[in-house]
Amino acid sequence: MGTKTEVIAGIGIMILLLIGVRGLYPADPITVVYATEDGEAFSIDNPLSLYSHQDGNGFLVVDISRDSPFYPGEGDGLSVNSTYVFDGVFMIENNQSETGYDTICVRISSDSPNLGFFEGAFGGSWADVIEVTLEADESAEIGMRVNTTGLGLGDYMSEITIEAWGGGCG
Amino acid sequence: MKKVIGLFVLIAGLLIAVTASSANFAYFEADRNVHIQIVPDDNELIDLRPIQPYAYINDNGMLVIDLSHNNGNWEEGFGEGVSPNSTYVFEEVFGVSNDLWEQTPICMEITYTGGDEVTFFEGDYVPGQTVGSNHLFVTIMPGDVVRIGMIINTTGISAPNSLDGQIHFDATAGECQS
Repeated sequence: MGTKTEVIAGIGIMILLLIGVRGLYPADPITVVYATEDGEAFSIDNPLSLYSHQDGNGFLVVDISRDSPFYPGEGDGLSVNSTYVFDGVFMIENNQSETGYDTICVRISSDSPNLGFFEGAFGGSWADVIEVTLEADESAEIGMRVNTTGLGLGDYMSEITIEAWGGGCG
Repeated sequence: MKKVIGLFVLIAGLLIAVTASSANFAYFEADRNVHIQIVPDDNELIDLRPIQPYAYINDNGMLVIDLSHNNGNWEEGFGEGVSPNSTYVFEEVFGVSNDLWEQTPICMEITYTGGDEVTFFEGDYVPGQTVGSNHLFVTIMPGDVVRIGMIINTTGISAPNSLDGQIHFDATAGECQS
């Protein structure tokens, strides 16, 4: 008699706890920033053209100046009141063994109104913010449009922000 | 009682196992640096460089062609402009060079939006053969400089007028298709 009660009580508790477990493990991703440590290679962006490279920390840098390791001795930078379009400056990739997702969405933006982005070969359109859906192990080439109108001679530092999360875009 | 406690422990163990495995990649954010230098026209990836003193680089770093005493290269005693009803030909007023880092040729389209009194030509002027144009296509190989000359025809224009216009440069990768 005692044993039956205990077993039923035990099953009841187990069911309750299982329901609780489902609630704790949500179907949607948790917002966790994946920090890259020194030496750790996990990054979804890689340099592609001479105008970009990896710095000492392994991070992508876009550099069109004499400081670039690819500077050949001529061509010190961009001119004023001009527009430049560079195809394939860097590449983004969904390395599924690292991201664990079949599909990720990557958003690329910058803090400068003079920088625009586009995917693949330039087709005449670009945007300040672009979003690209990448399937498992798929990669995309990102180009940049630089508009120096309104800027004078000098040194300019900007930042590109690359965000990614599981699931498709939009 | 013992049995219930035993079940608790088992379930607690299950809980920990399940939540620990949910620490997958969920979101990635990174800021990457962009460093761009804006330099004068005669230093950049596709140089515009003055060759004759009629062209110069102004304080903003832009190429200017100026045949008047406003040109920084003008000195007292120099000519102050062109005369009416005349034709002037200046070879290699400025050069366009290809200093792109990736060593590919470019096709440069040069368009002049002023009046047809001013036209341009590439390379040497061959009398009877060279025709000026306000719309040129020139192929520039990596490291090369293409020299652009000017023809100024003031027929029908009298002093003291001035001729103004803008030169528009448009380059694409690859040689020009003839």
